[in-house]
Amino acid sequence: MFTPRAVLLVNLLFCATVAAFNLPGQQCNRCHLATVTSYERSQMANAAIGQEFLKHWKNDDQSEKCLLCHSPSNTRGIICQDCHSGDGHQQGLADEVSVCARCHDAPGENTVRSYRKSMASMQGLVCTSCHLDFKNTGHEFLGPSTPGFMTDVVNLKLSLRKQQNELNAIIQIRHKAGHSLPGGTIGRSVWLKIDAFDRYCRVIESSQVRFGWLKTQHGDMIDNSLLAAKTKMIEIPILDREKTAGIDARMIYRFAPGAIDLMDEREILLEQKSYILSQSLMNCVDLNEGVKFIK
Amino acid sequence: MMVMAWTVHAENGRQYISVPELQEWIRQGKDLELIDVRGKQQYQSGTIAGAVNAGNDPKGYLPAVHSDPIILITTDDINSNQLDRWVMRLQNVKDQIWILSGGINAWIAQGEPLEKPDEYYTRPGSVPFIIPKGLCEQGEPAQVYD
Repeated sequence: MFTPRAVLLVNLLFCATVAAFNLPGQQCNRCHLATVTSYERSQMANAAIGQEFLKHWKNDDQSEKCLLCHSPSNTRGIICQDCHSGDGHQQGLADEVSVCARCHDAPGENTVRSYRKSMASMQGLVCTSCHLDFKNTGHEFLGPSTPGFMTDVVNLKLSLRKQQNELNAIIQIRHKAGHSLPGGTIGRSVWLKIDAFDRYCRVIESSQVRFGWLKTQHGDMIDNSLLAAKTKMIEIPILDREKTAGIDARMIYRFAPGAIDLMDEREILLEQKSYILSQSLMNCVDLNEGVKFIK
Repeated sequence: MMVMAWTVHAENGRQYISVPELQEWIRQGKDLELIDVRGKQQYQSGTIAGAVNAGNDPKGYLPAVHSDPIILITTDDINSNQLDRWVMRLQNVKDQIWILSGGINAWIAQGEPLEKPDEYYTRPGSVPFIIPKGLCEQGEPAQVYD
């Protein structure tokens, strides 16, 4: 008896050597060619062959648990039948959100759970209202990997409060996602990076806050993602008030797990706000491009 | 009991917004900036969800630059000079400044909830945590930062 892992490995090998890989979903082509063609461009259709997944799957001893979502039918990703269950002619989704929840509420995800408490849910929006491109009968799922998808998702406000000898940066974060941000698995994260810089644009203080899943020192996983339609506030004391000539706040979306200084070529700058406290900074600040930091 | 006939109104050149109208804006998810100017102690004892503690000195507050309307949360007995100082301070960068009519007490009188800022304030480094290193940890995180 072959294990799912063995079947997937054979399939992946087959996929790599045969150009016309025979997806079970291809039987849907007969009537839904455009739909299937666009779907096959999705990350979901290729969930088990992505470089990032394969790298972590191998590190995780090729656990079969991962395949429950990444390759439920032992193919290169999720196929039509995995969501549109039924034999013969496939059926529609009786409860679309519950179908997505099978994986997007799996351990280490709370995307659908947070959606159910959101304004989007109350307004009757469902997952595909935002994540599916219905144009031209398309079935390509949209997400952070889709160029432009994250544009204007985050609203970042930066204000300052000076009182007595204290200077505090106050950051308000609000986002438009219909679920917690970031959605997706544990490794996804959104970072807030705050830099205080001197009049030469040299960074003199830096703080980072990570939103996403965290592990406490006691080993528990806690969800520290940004709730939908709820303002999150961060207050950061700026220690060197005398030298600080400006403050820069950035929200960054990252795909790669781990710390912010690890390379992630796909990271997305979601929003950036700067506060200039000294006119002498103008030679190193471009109002259109933000602060040009000197490393 | 007198029922307020307006939801927004102007008085002495200042614009006011009633509690029901503010509730409606919040319910609609309208982008707003709530600024609490009652001072740290009162702010920390409870404020409207999402409000910023701007301190009680208008000179010390540098507001965020954006086009969202500002809602000023005050005590109901704030003196008019102090109120004008706040409005003048904010008018430098804002078009729309609304004062919550009746202040925080009117909000409470309508049975609206207050939130303790500590519940949603985060200070970097205040909670020790480890960043997950794996993409999907299946509830059994094995790869973590040391």
